[in-house]
Amino acid sequence: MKAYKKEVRSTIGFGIGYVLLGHTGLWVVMLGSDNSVRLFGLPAHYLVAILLGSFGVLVWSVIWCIFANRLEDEIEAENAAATGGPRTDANVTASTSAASPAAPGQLAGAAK
Amino acid sequence: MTSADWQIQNIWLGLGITLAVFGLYYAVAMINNKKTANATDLYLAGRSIGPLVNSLAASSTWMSVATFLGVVALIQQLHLPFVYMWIQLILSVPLLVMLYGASLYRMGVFTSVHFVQLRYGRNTAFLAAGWMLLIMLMYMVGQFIGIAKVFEVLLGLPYTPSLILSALVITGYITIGGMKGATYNDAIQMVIMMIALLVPLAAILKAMGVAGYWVPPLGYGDLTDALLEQIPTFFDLKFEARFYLSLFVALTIGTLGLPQLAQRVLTSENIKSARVVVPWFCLWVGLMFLGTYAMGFAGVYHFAMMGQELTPEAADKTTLLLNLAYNPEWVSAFVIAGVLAAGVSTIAGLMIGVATVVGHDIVGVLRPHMSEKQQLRYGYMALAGTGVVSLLVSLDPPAFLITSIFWAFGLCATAITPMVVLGVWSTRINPWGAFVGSLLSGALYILLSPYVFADLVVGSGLVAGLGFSTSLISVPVGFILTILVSLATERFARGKAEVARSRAQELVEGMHGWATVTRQRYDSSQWLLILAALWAPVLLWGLVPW
Repeated sequence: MKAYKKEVRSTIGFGIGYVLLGHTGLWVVMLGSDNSVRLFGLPAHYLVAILLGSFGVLVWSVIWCIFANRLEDEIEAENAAATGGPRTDANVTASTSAASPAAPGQLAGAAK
Repeated sequence: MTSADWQIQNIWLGLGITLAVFGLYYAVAMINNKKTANATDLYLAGRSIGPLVNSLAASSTWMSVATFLGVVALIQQLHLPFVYMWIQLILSVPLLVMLYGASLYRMGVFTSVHFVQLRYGRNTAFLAAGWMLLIMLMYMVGQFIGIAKVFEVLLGLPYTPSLILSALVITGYITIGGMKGATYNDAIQMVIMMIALLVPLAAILKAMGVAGYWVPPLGYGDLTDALLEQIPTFFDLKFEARFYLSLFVALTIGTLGLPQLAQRVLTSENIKSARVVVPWFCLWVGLMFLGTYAMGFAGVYHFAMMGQELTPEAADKTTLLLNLAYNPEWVSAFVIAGVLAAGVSTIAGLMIGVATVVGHDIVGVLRPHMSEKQQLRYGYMALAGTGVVSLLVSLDPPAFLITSIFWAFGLCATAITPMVVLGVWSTRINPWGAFVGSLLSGALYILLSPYVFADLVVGSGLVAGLGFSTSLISVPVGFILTILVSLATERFARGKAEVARSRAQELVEGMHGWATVTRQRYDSSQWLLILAALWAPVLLWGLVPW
């Protein structure tokens, strides 16, 4: 269950992070802005908004990607422990076979 | 200001470069036509695309003609609030991949509609297909018109013949190349777009005497005082807090549900590679967005210096005007190539998105026993047909269709995102909740929009036209209804609901990569009720008159 809880919590955490980085407008409306406060010549609230919304999001994405791909390995490890061996087709239950790729129209597990 | 200000003098330069780039796109399409053997190749590039190419393709699909033309104009007209609207658009792909893209990849589905079909059944899938086709067609018609306008306005060619010719040419190479051709072409187009926007921008800033010209996306601080002199309120937030909240509700929640973006992720070579697309996407889109804001600044500064009134008509062509004023004409011709690249790349993603829904998710379901050869033929017909239908609609588009792609994002946020995202993270969401939630909230969104019943409107002006005020009501309704109807069905239709829940447990745990079904993961109703409760105050705030 450890990797599962990690998955859920990290999704919420990274999601909140993304939203905060891309939505500085609400904070500026609440805290107010002053055009004379400059960073590199540009009004600070403007520069912070566009930097967080580009480089900030980029950095956050890099962190998320590394974390999420490592979590994938942890889930695989838990699978291996649960099924008592490396994940093979024989060990995979109906859960994944129901979701396997299928031809158009012949959708595995599709309800009518 | 007249058309002479934004048209290049040497039309052969413009036409020449247009022919050259389209020749390249056709060549790439034909090479990839030979590599397309089945439906998976045609719609999903055989799931063979690496993260760098895929990130470039996703970025160019995302960034349309608006990047070069409309955005710069709107920055000059709406000022800082528009920049805030635009900033959060970068969140589309990151949130999409994190919230459901990876899971859909693991399931091996072709589209979001395919996912809805597996998760909720045929009826809900047809409903989802209807919404997605409406959204994608709106988008596509807007792009076809945009491209025709590029030919008309920038090259001085007549509008309707430009529309017909460009639509047929574009439909041609996309149909020939399928998703493989579209992906590689989109990646090439992204490189063209980046060079066409950022390099001339540096030259423009240098010519203006801006010290930071060598970092075009950020180095234009020198222009701030001139900008404030011209427009003292440029950096004011102008709108109430609710406007800025609605950016999240309508735009962030909406754009993460867009089917053509989801399909891009599904073409990846493997699931980890699909995740690596995200940071690369953020790099390209981040740079381009920053460049667009800089172009807007430079535009205002330029017009202030010239002492010229900036008409809305001219504002749209600021990028071209600046290039023509400061750079040699061949540079402007290349910028036109960049504008065209932006438009056709977006069209490519949309066209294949529509064709996949029609060919695979609708025809494929109604006629499930087609041979692979027949499937492929239907697929090509769907691709070509999509282009032709979009062209016919573009010839005389209903005003509604061209009004606002932002409005379409709000519809996506209302009718698509709840059932897809909740369907991936909760086994308690069932077909009844998904269907009723999507249908009723989508209908509510349309009814409350200013385009249907003029008297039954929430908010007015900009916030209504863009769907922001409507979204603050319909999106919470969508989430709340989906959750409550699902949970209520468990009480009032116990047998059927239990079967649905059992099925969902197997599907959902599997799509997250678990090899065993515990029937405990993703099964809590508590967080769903908390989520519904969190949406309630948003809904109430949305009901307060604007």
